[in-house]
Amino acid sequence: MEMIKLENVSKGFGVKKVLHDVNLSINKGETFLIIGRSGAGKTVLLKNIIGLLRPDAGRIFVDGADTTAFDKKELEKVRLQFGLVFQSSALFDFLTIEENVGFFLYQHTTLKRSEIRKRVKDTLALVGLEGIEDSYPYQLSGGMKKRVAIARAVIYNPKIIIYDEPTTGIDPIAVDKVVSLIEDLHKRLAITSLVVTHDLEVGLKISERIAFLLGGRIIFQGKKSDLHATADPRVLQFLNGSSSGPIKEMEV
Amino acid sequence: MRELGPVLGSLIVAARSGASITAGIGSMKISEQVDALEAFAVAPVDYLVVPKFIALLITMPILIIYADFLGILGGYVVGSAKFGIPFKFYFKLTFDALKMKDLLSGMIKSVCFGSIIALVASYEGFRPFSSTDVSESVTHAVVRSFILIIVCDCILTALFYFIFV
Repeated sequence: MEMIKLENVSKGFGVKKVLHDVNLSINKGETFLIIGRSGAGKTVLLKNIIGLLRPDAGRIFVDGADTTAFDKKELEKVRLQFGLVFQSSALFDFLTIEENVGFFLYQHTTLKRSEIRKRVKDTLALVGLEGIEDSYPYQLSGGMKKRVAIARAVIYNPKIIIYDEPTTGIDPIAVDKVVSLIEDLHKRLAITSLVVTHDLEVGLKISERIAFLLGGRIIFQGKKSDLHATADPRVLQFLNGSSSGPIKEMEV
Repeated sequence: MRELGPVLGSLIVAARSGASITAGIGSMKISEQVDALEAFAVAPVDYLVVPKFIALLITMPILIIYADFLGILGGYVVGSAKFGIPFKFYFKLTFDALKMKDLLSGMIKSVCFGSIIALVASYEGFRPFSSTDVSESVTHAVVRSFILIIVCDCILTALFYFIFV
């Protein structure tokens, strides 16, 4: 059963077209990877999926509902089905870690502060962080911020969790911890996960199916095992990490 | 109380707090915190702008009264040190010359100037797309607030001239 489905989605900003007729389907409970070079349109695609941007053409279905036909209020409800881990972690720097992780609960539930604090503590323990509730984001390392961002995204049990470049800007040890955490959460929560990255090694480790985005177009979609069998020279060039081939340096 | 207090006080607030509001929202925008608010179905304007707007509406009149008081006190210090004017005499003459309309026009102006600072600073805060844009937005916020405060002051002064005859 499909959790997210995109039909001929296009999006542009002024004269610059970023997405061209993107077709994509992500099944319930799977970890799906969208891979592509920096500037390929991955983040724009994500923002369209969660309703932060509206496509110029095409349709987007989330859990069977056509969200492109939704108004602002309905889109807000759809957005609450997603847990989003931003590329820069996007922790609110004026709030403590407890207030950051419990942000959704403070905003959208009537739970008491003590109950929220307990849930925050449990969720932080789930991502391997304890005793940092009263710290501020600037006091944490990049890897810890990512894990806090993951805790903030999973605390309200969303149907889908989206990781936007989850390993960008952190050291290799922190990368390994974040990757293990994503795998562990997927096993424990059986949640549909969408990972967007240009880090092939990380992407292949955590995903089951893959879509390759180049210049705003999906040029490959299929199982991880199919990726190495493809004859598309652009995919092969990306897999080999080679600068010579059909994808030129300035091409995005 | 009608001119210098509200105008100078507001220019200082625009330079200090207006710049801070723009830099704060701007840095949130480029670090995806504004996107995160939207992802949590929280309207960024409601969460970031409305509290600052209300805070400035409340604090500006208080700050301007404080500035007026210090201005009058400064007048006494100079008058007393330079011309030996007695305390009682100075304050009697000052308060005899003051009318309710002076205080009222100053208060109305301070509320209007506070609104200008909050709106201009917030609007500029949402504009940056990169870290280099933030400093540009802060400059725009301060300059535009200054200009709008002075223009608004001219309009209100002309208006009060006819209202508070």
